[in-house]
Amino acid sequence: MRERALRFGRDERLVGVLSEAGDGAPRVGRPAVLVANVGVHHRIGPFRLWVELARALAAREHAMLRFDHAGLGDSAPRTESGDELMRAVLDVRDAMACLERRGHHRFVVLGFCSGVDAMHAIARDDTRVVGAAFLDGYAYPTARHALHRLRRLARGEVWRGAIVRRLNRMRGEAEVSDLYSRSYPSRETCEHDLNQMASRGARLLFAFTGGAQQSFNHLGQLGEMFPSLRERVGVDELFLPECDHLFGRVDDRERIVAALAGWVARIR
Amino acid sequence: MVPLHFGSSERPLFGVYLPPTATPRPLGVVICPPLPQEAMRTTWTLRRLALALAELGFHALRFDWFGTGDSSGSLVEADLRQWRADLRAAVGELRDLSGGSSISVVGIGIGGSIALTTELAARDLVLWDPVVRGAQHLKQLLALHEATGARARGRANAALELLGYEMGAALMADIAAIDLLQPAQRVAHFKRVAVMSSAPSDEARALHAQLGARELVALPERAPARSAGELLISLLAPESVKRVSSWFNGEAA
Repeated sequence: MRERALRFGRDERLVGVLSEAGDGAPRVGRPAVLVANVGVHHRIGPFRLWVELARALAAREHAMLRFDHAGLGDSAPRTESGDELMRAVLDVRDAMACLERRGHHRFVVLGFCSGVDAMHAIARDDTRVVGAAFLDGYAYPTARHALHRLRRLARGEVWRGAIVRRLNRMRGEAEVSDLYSRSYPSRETCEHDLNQMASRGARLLFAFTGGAQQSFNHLGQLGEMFPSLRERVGVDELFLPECDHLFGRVDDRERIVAALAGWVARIR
Repeated sequence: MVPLHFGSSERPLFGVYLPPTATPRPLGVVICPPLPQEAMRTTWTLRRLALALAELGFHALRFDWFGTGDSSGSLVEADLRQWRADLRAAVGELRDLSGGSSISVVGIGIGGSIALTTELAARDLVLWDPVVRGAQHLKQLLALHEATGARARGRANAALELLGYEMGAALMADIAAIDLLQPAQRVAHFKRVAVMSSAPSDEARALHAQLGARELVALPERAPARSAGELLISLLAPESVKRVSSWFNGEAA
């Protein structure tokens, strides 16, 4: 396994680290993986999650580029005008161009929380993307979601969580939801986009943690949100209620790294 | 700005080199980070510090300790003997990158403690909220961990999971053994030393007195987190960055 520090993109303003197997030559049938910042955390990911994943993937002969979006981590800001999403998409395209120059032509993109926005857009529009994984991504209320929430209410879990959040706010601590407020596409638009990805054969993985329970709280909710995906081959759902939003425990990171690496390895 | 790997090919370290953006001086500053538990909080601040130093004409190098950040290895494999070697490698690397400049060091948290206890000859040293007594610092981290409602969990080979990171027994023992108030531990040789503290404690004052540093600089923004939640939020410390970079600027004049 080897790792290289890279600068790429216009004026080489973007910074990333590329992890590769052995000699670095692309392996036939092994798409390269792309991941960027989670919120404002830099490219190593929360608790070094992306570093651990990159090395697990390199052991399976997949290259992975973890990079900082413009203006985050070590990457310089963009000078082009345009909204934040458009600029983030440009960054991902620059990352793909960087990997193409190294002989990679098929990609798996991984979006986590706010990072889902750009990766969703790229996966929808770019036919080089053969797989997309979304962690704590877009989720929409369903009847069973409400029912599960009521059950948690009855068990006191919701109240305990609300009290803890209230105490945290009183102590001046920010909540994840405070830091990362975004606007979602409508459920219909999202379902249309996902079908567009799946129709061309892209593999999709949706993983939700316990930290996202306000919007996703049971296995099977994916099919309720997007009924047309139920019968699709190559669509996987993973629910990890024991994991917090940032995978702040070692065992939880080991679990998600194993799940993601195993999923990527099945994409040919 | 140059991202790079340096050090041995068996265990490469990751760093970011910033050449001067103002009239260059033959002076460089190596920036030593705190423990990884504090990385999410301080990465932005250390990046701003490097930029501020480059804007004053210094060569600057930020780097990640072995087993942390983008450097090779896992934290559970790390110990302070390796991290002291990492610091010496970083000083050597910056000297090469800068064409033989005189090198100073700034260390935040454990970074400062390592700088003071490493056999190293460098120009100036800034200790930014240094860990003065390692055992006490570990107790504070443990208290932050337990305040989340979780118990710090033992892992294989006597490692401990603390605030999301698995720390090996060797690293824990090395940190616990740090006592900067013991003169025998302060083996580094610097021309000038400054102790800068965001919450000056008796220990910081005692260290400042023992080192014969000219002043105990008070930093306006608090670097050490008061809760596990604060560790996850980036610290913006523009005034502290200004004070630290200005100190180097004043000493270089």
